[in-house]
Amino acid sequence: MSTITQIKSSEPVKRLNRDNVRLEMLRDILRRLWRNPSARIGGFLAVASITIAIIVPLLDNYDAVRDNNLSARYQPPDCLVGWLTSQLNDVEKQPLSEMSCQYPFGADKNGRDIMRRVGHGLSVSLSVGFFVVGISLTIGVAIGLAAGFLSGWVESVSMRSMDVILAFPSLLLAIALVTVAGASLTNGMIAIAITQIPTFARLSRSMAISIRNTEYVMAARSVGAGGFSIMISHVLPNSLAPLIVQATLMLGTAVITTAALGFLGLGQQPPWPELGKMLAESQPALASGKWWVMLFPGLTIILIVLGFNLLGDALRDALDPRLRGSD
Amino acid sequence: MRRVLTYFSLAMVALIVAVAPAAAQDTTFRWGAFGNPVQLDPALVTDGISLNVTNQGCEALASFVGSTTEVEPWLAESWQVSDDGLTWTFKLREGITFHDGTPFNAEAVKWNFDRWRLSDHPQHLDEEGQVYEYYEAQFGGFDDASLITDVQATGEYEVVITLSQPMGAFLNNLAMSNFQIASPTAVEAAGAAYGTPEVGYVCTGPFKFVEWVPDVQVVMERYEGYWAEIPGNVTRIEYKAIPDNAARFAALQAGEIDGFEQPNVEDIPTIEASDNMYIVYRPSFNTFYLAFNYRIQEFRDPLVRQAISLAINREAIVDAFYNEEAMPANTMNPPTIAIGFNPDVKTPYDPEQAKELLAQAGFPDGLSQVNVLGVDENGNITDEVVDTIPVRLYYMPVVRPYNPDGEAIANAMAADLAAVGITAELTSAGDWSTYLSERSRGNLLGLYQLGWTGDNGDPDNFIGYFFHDVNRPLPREGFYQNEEVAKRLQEARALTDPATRDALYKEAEAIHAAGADRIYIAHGPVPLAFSSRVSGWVPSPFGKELYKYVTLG
Amino acid sequence: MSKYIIRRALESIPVIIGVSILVFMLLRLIPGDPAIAILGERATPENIAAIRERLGLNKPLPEQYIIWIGNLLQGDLGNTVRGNIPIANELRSRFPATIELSLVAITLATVIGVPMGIFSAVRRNSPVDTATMFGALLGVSVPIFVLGLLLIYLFGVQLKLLPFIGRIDSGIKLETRTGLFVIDSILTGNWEALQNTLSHLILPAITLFTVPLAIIARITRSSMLEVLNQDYIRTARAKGLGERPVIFSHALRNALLPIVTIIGLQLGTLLSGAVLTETIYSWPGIGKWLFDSIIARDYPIVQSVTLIVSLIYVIINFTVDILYALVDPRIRVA
Repeated sequence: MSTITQIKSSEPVKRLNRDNVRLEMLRDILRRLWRNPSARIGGFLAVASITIAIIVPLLDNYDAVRDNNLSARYQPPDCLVGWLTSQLNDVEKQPLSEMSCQYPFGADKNGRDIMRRVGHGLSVSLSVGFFVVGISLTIGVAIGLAAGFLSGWVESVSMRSMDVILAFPSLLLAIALVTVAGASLTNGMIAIAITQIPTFARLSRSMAISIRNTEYVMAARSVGAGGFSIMISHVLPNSLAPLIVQATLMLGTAVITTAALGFLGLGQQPPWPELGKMLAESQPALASGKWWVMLFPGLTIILIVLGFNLLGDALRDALDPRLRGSD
Repeated sequence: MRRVLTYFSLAMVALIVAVAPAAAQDTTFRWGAFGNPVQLDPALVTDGISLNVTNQGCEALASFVGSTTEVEPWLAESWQVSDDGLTWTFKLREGITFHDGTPFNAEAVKWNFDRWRLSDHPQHLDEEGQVYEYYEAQFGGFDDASLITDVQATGEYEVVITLSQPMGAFLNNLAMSNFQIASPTAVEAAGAAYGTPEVGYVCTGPFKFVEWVPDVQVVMERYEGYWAEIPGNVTRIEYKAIPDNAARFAALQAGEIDGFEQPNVEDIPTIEASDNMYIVYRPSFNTFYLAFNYRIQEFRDPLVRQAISLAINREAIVDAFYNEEAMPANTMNPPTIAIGFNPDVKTPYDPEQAKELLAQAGFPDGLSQVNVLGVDENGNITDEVVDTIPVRLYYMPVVRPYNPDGEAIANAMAADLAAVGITAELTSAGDWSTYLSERSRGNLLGLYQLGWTGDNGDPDNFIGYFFHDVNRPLPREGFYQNEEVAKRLQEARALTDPATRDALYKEAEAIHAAGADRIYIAHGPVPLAFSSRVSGWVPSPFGKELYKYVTLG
Repeated sequence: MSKYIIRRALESIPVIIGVSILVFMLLRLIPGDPAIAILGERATPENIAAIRERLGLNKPLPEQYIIWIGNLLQGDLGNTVRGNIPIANELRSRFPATIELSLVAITLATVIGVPMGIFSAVRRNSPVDTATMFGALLGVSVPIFVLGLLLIYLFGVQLKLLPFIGRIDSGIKLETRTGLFVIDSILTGNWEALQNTLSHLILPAITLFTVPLAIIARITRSSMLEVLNQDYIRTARAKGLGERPVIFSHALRNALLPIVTIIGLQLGTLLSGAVLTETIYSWPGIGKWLFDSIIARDYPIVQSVTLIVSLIYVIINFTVDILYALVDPRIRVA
């Protein structure tokens, strides 16, 4: 049972019009979200990372091809981080005001400014996440709704194809697909999206099945509404909540999987930055104590994934009436 | 639930405390390799790991002297060649037995050669998927195609080998790991299973095969009946598979292994500064290059190629990404080669002149798009422009002894090119197999990285391998063809006099370099990391190191 | 019920056939082939053609597919391209390695994740809840290749507490019966081997269990929350039952079904998802082997092993569905 059906059943009594119900619901959800500390943290991280991801490419025109300065290879962080680490270590202490600020997060093996690359990499990784989830959500929902609502052979064929994809080891499927299509960020994103389609398809199919036998869908049918229009106007809006939740959770997975593809050299092509690839490249530097090469991209990934996952969990709590409890 | 958790954590703590450090077995040498051997029959494999293992237990008629590319007699005591260079007589060492007790004699040697070269030999087994890759490559093919036309046992310890044409690199070939002599009895008994984990190898060398657990380790033990002296004290070898580069270094630090090949450049200072570890360099016998695909119309102009050569700062690349023993390359043949290195060829770094040459070639505003020419059915390039594409720079998606970090080097190269006005797009085309496949079909349409490690020390296996074809441009060499170069390489191949061959190879290098036909970047000696308890390591330019020299402290 | 089982079993057949066609076609679509991979830098058109011929790669695709399936049905998994070694022999040592690691990881994830989820649900929206979920999520947000390395450096190199190479020290002799070293050492009463192999399991299992831990903890939390709101729980509470009996004997029992489902499915993904963990810890299992085989274009290995992994996934899925149907009769009709 979803929120809307419950309220709908009380409609005749309270005589609220639909807009007011919706507004009331939204306010209710936001209120619940605000009360939940996970949602506040998650929301902050998500909004902050999206803002940075949009602003950085607008403000800074980055030409990665020309960004190479071998004399600054593995330059440790200066500026604030450099000052902080110098306080921790037994080195000659330099006042903060005298520290230069050329490499606030240090430089990588090609002598490139890590802060700048983390900014642009964040932007790429987030776009990847949204793109992957967008594709798999759209296709998955289309398949799932069709299967759930039309049943019969459509359901059999589409759900068995989803099973095939699910039964295939997902990272290996992505690797194989990228190898077939050629290594590039776009192909990597499409490959990951394909491996995520079944999750959305299964979810939306089960939503469609649970909704198709409800009173209001029956009612819509009885007044002659076609399958497609019922799907669009009734089933989809009612499945939205769990789908949004699933989507925020999958966003994190998409970013991590892209990182794994980047680690295997199959994602973003150099010299353009992507967080996962930056992390993969930092591996050799770790044992020799060049922590900054790994720390900053790593921390950024952790914060993004954490942010969207916390937000997703909190959304689930807020949207799903069964989880509301007596708060 | 809490109780379960408590017990669980107690158990974990008990376990951690109880894990005592493994008692070091004094004379077990543990090597960390990046993978599993493919097969332990050296005649059938081409990969370094398999050969590294069989080198410990198998021997050939000839061998390389210490850390050089010179050849000395080994299972053969001496040899003689007829004046026409076609008949070789080998006198074999006496009193040697294989690990299974089979005597080593002329019949056994003949049996091995016949197995390699004759497709109807009962143990050739090509139907069952046995591929004699290197025999085919070094001796032209099998049966009638084989340059070895006859092998006869003319005495208990005398073998005569007849060739169809003289071969400058014959003895170097015989010293290669792929031509190690196996026990005929053992191969006959095992059939196609010879060399698999169940059987391993049965040869004459200082260590015999004990066990191979796939993806874990190959174990070898000292062969008590070995015919020669063993300088070191290793009694057991554990050749372990540790695929992750960082894990191998960690394993050395933790004392789980005694040595491994090619640590990250970043880790070398750490190892050198440590009291428990040290570095040995394997003399460089490789070359890293940037090849042109000659289907790109612009790259057919020597001025453009010269400009690109002048634009790339080899010195800076070697300083940043290679170890301290590496050097920038000017030619295909490395300085360590016995003959055929031309020290007079120089390839300077001069971006200003590069810009001028580009302008002279008609690209004063630089280059970002190029034309692709068509290929006719005979494999020749036509004048027709079939496509216009961005300038591409293909980087290798793997680490190789000659190329420690293809991607980072490509980044640096792209920046160098951008500085003279050439905007290149970087791509790996996919994984390593895709890269190689596209390369051999001539589909890497742009500049592409690749390199070569010599197999036998002869220039015919170096520059000669690449450019000797006079008939048509080879797709796998980016449709490169230079008849002047090819003619000299063909001539040198069939000669046996070192001085004449040396001169021909030097000429070929000079002609090749004059047009900047291909860009040579670096020769990279491979670093090897060891625990300080290891001494006596004798590095080999081919990576053919023998653990019998190792002494463990 | 038996009708449902049969129908569900029949449905699995097209899935397996689908996987076999998908893996077969994908491999052929990938540029490069085993011949190229074997020859490396030394590939010439002549020797590529020769090897292709010997491997039967010149035959039409449908014929190659039928030959492969035919051999499979006769129980012949084929030989590896590189090395010409029977795949069945290789599988015998590698498969138990992956199963053992996956089972230990999933057990750890369950033993830790379920209590975390319960705890979080009971203290909902408290800072403890946030902190617990934060901790569970942290694992998912750190890529495996980073986590694995950090653990190696901390516990293996710096503290020298735990081994991180392979399954057991080579000096220790263990008679293998099942291939699962923990079971084998218990069966043979070899306590030294047991301790040694357990210590080898710790770091890879921790690396591998982070993702299922997060998922199990979250599913437990949400299904507990759902159950805790049901009327019968309120009734139980109203009756004055203590919080503990309410949670453990009433709520947990009813929340168990989705938890068990997710544990089953996670095991299925773990079996195939161990590629990176196995690489980092030199673990001789099938994940790393499969990945290497894709790179080497070793068609027979990739085809046969993928099919077996998928089969296991389908079997686990099937079992979970049957369990569900046993518990909830409505599913049988749907």
